[in-house]
Amino acid sequence: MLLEFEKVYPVFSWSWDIPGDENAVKENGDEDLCGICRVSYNGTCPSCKYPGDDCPLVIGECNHNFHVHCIQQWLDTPTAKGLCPMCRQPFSLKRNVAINEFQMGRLAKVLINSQPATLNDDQDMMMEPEFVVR
Amino acid sequence: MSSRLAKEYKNVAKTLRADQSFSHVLSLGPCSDDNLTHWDAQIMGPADTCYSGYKFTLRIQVTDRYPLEPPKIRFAPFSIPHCNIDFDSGRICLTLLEQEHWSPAWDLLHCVQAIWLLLANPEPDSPLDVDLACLLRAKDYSAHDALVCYYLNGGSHGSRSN
Amino acid sequence: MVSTNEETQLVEQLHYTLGDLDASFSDDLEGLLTWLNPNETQSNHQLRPPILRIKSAIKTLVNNKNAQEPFLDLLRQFVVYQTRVHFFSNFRSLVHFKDLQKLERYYEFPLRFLELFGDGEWTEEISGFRNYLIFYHPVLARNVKLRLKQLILEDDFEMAMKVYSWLCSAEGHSLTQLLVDIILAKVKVFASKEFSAEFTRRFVIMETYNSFMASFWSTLSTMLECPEDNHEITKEIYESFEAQFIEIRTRQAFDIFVTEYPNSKPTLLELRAVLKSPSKYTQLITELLVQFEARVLKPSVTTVEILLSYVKAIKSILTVDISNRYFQLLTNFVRPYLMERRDAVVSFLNAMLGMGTIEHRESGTKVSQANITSQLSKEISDSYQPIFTTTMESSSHSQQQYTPIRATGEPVCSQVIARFLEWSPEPSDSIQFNGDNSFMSEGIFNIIIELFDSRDVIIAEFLRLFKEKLFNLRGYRLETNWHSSLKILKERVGLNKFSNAQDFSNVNNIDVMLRDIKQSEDLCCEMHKIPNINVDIVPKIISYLFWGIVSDSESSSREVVLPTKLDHDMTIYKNNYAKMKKGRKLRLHPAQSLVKIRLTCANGRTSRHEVSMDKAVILSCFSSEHESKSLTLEEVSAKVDVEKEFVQQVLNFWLQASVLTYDHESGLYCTLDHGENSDDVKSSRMLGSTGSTIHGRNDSGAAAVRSQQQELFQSMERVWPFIKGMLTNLGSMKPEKIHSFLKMAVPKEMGFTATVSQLESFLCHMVDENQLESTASGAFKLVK
Repeated sequence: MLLEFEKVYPVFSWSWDIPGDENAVKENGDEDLCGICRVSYNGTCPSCKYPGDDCPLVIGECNHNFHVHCIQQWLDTPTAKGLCPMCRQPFSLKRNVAINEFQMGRLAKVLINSQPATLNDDQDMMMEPEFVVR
Repeated sequence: MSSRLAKEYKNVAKTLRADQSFSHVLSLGPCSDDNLTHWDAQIMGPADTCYSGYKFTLRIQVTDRYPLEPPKIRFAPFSIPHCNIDFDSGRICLTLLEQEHWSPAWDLLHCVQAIWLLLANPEPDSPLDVDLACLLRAKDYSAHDALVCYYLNGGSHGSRSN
Repeated sequence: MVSTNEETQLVEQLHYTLGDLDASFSDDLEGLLTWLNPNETQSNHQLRPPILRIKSAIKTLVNNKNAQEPFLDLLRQFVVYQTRVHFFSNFRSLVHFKDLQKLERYYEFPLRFLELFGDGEWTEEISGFRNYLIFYHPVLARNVKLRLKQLILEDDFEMAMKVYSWLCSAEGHSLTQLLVDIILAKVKVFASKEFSAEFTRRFVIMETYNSFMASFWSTLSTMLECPEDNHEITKEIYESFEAQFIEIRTRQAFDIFVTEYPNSKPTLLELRAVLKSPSKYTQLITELLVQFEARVLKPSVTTVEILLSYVKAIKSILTVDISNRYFQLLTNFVRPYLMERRDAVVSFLNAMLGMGTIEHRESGTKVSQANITSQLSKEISDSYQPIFTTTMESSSHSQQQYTPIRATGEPVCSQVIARFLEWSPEPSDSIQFNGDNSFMSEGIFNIIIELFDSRDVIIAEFLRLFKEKLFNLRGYRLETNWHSSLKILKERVGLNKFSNAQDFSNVNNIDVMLRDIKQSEDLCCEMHKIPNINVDIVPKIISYLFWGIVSDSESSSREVVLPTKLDHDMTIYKNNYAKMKKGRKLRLHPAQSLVKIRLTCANGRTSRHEVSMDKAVILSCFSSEHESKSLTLEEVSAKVDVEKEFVQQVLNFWLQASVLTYDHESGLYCTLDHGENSDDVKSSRMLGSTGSTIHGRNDSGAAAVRSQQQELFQSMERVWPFIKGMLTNLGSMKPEKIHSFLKMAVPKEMGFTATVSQLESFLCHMVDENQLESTASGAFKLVK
C-alpha cells in the first residue's frame, strides 16, 4: 500500500525565537514571562490586543527579555534611570539578534534620554538573595 | 495593569500553598474579587524577635501604574511599634517601596516578604519612631525589646507621647 | 267507579234542572255524562266521535238555543269537576311532554263536540293544570325544559316552539333567560364542531358566529319574540363563541404552541385578540406548561427536541402575549430540567451554527436528529433580526422586571406561582402593539441564553466548537453563520461592558484567532509564490496562547517523526516563515493538523481519507510502493517516536476503517492490500489463522473465550447507539439502570438478551476503547 499526502493543512504555532533558548528546559512547565507585566513572551503586554507584530519582544544585552511596550514604559519612568528592572544593569538591546532588528530605532530614543546611574548601596541591598522570591 | 494583578493573585495563592518558606505569610489577597487595587496581608512576627507570636495586618493599595510604580503598603494603624514604622499611621520606611528604588520586577509578595524581613532587621539610621531608634543606636536592646513588648501588649499611645 | 258525594249531588241537580224533560231524557243525560267523563275510562268517548245516540243527546240538551243556562252551568261544573278529579289522580304519572300532550288532548277531545265553554274559560282551566304541574311536579318541569333544549339543539324548531309556548303558558310569562341559556348551549355544541383541530385559519370566531347566525337567528329571534337586531343577545352569543374558542384552544395548547407552530400562527394571533383577562392567560399558559411537561420533559425526548419545542413555545407565547410577561414562566419551568442535560449547550450551539447536518460527525446521530437540529436552527435564525434592533432597551427593561428565580430553596413551581400572585395586570389599553415584529423584541436568542444559567458556559462551549472549526478549515474562510453567531455572542458580552474579565479575554481570544487565520492566509499567499514550494500545503499559523493550546501539553504538541518528504516540506515552510517574520520560529502540531491522503493498494484500488496528521503519519509507516508491510505496535511506536498507548489508539482507528488488519498470533499489523470488500477481509483473516494453527494450538482455549467475547461485543455494538443516546441525555448511569432501559428501549427484532454482567463487561470494554468513562460511584458516562 502506498500512502500519499494529497493536501496538507498543517497547524503551526509561532513563538519568539530567543537565541540560546532552544533547549532550555522550562521549570515546572512555566512559560517565560515578561518581568514587568508577567505575561508570557508570546502573549501581549496589557495594552495590546494582538500578539506578534503588534506587541514584539526585545532581548536585553543582559539577557532579560520584555515586551517592547513594557520596557519602554518602564524606561520612560524617570526613576528607571535606564536600568533593567531585573538586574539593574543599564538596559540596552542585544545586537545581532533577529528579534531586536526592528526595535533598535524605536528604543534608541528612550535609551539616550534616560540617564544610566551607578549602583548605590540601596540597590545592592535589594539585590540580596533574600529579597528575591524563588 | 489589572491582568498582572490577576496573575499575581493566582500565583500568590499557589506559592503560599506550596512553598513552606512563606509560612509566615498567613494570607495575601485582594479585599474583594471585583476590585484588585486593594489587598490585605497577614503576617506572623519573625521568630526570635520581640514580634514573634504576633499577627500583623498589612493594607496594600495598588495604583493604575503598577508595576511601574510601587504599591502603597502600610500596617494597620496603632498595631506595630518598630523604629522604621510610624505607630499611629502604620507607615513604613523601606527603600524598596520608594519610587526611586522600585523595580517592576518586584511583586506584592516580594514586598510583603521585604517588610517581614524589616521586622527582624530594624534600620535605626532612617527612623520613623525616634524613641525606638535611639535605644537601638545606643545598643540598649533589652530596653528596646521591653518597650516594643509594652506596646504590643496594649500600652496606650497617650502614655507614650507624654 | 265510586261516586263521591259531590258527584252524586251534581248529577242529581242536573236531572233536576231538566225538570219535565228529565223523564224523557234521563237516559240520554246519563249517557252524555258518561261519555264526557274522563274518569269513565272504559265507557267514555275514548277519543272517538260521539255515536248517534250521544250526538242527539248533545243536540237536544246542549247545542240548543233552548238549553237552559242553569243546566249548562251544572254541566260545565260536572266536566270541570270530573276533569280535575282525573287530573289530580293521574298527574303523578306524567313524565314527558308527550304525556302532557296526550292528556290535554284527552280532556279537550269531547269538548269539541259541545258548545259548552266560552273561548277563555277552558284555556284558563288548562293553564291552571299547567301552572300546577310546573310548581308541583318538578320532574316533569325539568323534563319539559330538557326536551326544549334537546329540540333546539337538534334544530327541530317547530316542536320546540310548541314546548316553549306550553312552558310560557304554564309559567304565565315568556322565558327569555331559559331560551338564551339554551341558545348558548347550542353555541357551545356548534363551536366545538367548528373549532376543530385546524389552526391555519384566522377570524375563525367571526366566521363561525356568522354561519351560526345565518342558520338560526331568524328562527331563534322569533322564538325569543325579539327583533333581529337585538344587540344585547347577539353580543352575548358572540362572546359565548369567544369563550368557547378560548376554552377549546386552551385544551389544545400544546398542539397550537408547539406541534403545529409555525402553521398555527393564525390561531395564535386570534388568541391574542380575544384573550383579555389575565386569568384566561394564566389558564392557557398553565395548561401549556402541564402539557409541555407531560409531552416534552421526559427522558425519552432528546435535548434537541426539547430545545426545539421550547423555542417554538416561546415564539408562540410571544405571539400571543403582547405584554411579554409569560414566556419567563416557561423559561423558569424548563430551565431546571434542561440543566440536567449535559448536551444542552452543545445542541443549542450546533443548531445556532447550522451544524445539524454537515458537521455532526458523531456516528450515533440519526437522520431524524439532524433534521430536528436543522429545524431548531431555522427557528433560532428566524429571530436574529429583532435582536439587533432592540436588544439594549428591552433586555435591560426586562431584567429589572424579572430577576431570575434562584437559590431560595423553594421549588421553582411555587415561586412561579407566587410571582403570578404579586403581578397586577396593566390596563389593556396601555399595551401598545406596533407592527408584526416588535412583540419579538426580547429576541429568541437572548431568551435561550437566559435559559442556560450562565453565559460563560455558552461562551466556553462556543469557543471549543469555534476552535475545532478553525482547525478543520480547509481554507481560510468561515461560513456566514459563524460570523453572525460570533457577532451575537460578542454583542451579548458587549452588553456587560467587560465587567467580567473572563468574558473579555474570551472575546479577545476569538479576535486573535480570527486574525491568526487572516494572517495565515496572507502568509500562505506569499509563501506559495516561492519557486518550487509545495502548494498543496495550506498552513495555519496560530498564536498558541490564545488557542488554549499549552505548548507543553502532551496531546496538542506530540512530536511525531514525519515521513521524510513531509518533514522536508514542513521544514521549508518553517524556514520561510522565519525569513518573513524575523525573530520567530514555528512549531508543528500534528494532532491539530489535517491532511487528505490517498491510499493506493497493491491491486490498484485507491481510497481517500481525511484525518489528523498524526494518524496519517502513523499509517505512513506501512506505506510501501509494492508489497504489503507488516509491523508490530512496538515497531511503529519506535518509528514515529510516540508512546505506545497513542499508537495503539491510532492503529485501532485504522483497523476500524478497514485499512489495516491485525493478526492476533503474530501481533502484526498489516495493510489490507488485497481487500476489495469486507468478504475479502474476512477470508484474509481466515487464511492467516489457518496458517498458524500449528503454532497456536495450546492457545485455542483462550482464543475460544476471546471469540465468545467478541461475539458478545459484536451483538452489543448494535445497542451501542441506544446506550450512547441515553447517556447523552442523562449524563451518567449505573449498569443496572442502563440494562433495564435497554430491555425497554431496544426493539424486539433486534433482540437484547444480554445479562447485566455481560452488559457491564461491554461497558468496561467501551471504557478501554475511550468511548466511556466510569465514575467513582460505579456509573458510566460518555467521554467528553
